[in-house]
Amino acid sequence: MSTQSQVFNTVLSITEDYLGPAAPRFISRLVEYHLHKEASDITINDLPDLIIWIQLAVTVMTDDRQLIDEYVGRLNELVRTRSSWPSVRKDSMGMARRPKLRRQTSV
Amino acid sequence: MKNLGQLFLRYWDLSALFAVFILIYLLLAANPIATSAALDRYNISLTELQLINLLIAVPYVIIWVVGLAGYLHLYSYTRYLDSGKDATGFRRLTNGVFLLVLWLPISTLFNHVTTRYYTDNPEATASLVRADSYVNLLILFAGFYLIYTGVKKLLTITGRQVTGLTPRQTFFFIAFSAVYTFLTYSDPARSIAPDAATPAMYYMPDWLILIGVVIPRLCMWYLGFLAVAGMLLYGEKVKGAIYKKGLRNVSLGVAGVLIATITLRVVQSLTTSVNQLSLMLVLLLVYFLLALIGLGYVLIARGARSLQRIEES
Repeated sequence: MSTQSQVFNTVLSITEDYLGPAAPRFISRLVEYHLHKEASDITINDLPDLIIWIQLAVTVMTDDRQLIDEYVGRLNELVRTRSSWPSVRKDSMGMARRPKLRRQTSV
Repeated sequence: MKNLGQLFLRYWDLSALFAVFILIYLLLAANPIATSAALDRYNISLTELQLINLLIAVPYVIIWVVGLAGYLHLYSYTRYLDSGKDATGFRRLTNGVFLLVLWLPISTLFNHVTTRYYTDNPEATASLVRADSYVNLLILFAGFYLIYTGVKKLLTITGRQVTGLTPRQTFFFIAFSAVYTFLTYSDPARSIAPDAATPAMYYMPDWLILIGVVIPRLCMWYLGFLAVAGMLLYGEKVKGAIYKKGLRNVSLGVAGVLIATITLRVVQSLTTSVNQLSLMLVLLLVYFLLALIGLGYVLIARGARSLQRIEES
């Protein structure tokens, strides 16, 4: 399995715990609309941006803060364990903030 | 209310159809067929009968509108499901709900129109009474079947399938079937009209009532109970903490509509037994069942809106 599709499948697997059968459509929609690529083409580099959009979208669906934090936390953990990118930080409003990009020589 | 108006406008063709149904029904209700035998049975005047008819008509009309709104919300959500494991299941379920919603006005209007016709043309009574039975049976059977197959498809997502009722549920269904069959055959007016004012229930010989009415109805209600059990199981076993919150209302709503519709049909098909009760009690029973059906569609609408928020984000 390629790394790209592995990223998609892992994100999908986590998302299914919260959105069930709607998960594939949800992730595909966010990736296509906001990252302008096919869902199966997402890479680990796309995750921080994707997590921001996921958090925004899920906040509209539910007011269960604990559930949102748990979901976003699991995705953040994915970023932390799979790359050397910094995790997505939250601002004073509790919203995910896009990290500053750091030049990397390898992933 | 504003959202409801927009919903009805978006699907203006179906809304217009229901508006026509409502208009026809209110006109029919305001001009009841008043036979002296019918007035004597309940000891009321013609004006009182007109008022009672309109009083009965208003809750029916409200339930039709609530049902339509519930269906349109569900249909709106299903339109987003172009792909995915739940798409086919929800489409069939939605089509089944549509038939149940359509059954509400069609069964009422068909009954009113045919009653008027055979009151003036008694030779047509038997044919029209049989037609009325089968119109109800066909629409509901198709609706229940679609909901059942839709639920069966949805359950495959959870790796489960509809295997039948539990032993306790099966016992209940057998008991229910036995009581229903007994009451049907206890009706002395099942094949022959008891008097000039009251038509027979079926105008069929007993063997034809069994294979043409009782067995198909019991099969249909069995499918309905399976669909209820399957829908509740799907809501319980499907993954997705946020998805389940929206789905819960849809599951409870569909289950409620199925149970209330089955009960209403049982009451309607046991007219002679029910007519032994006072008019007030019959009205209260019908209102209660209509309210349950309405509540079911409200839950379906709320659940569908929650699920739609997932697809719109």
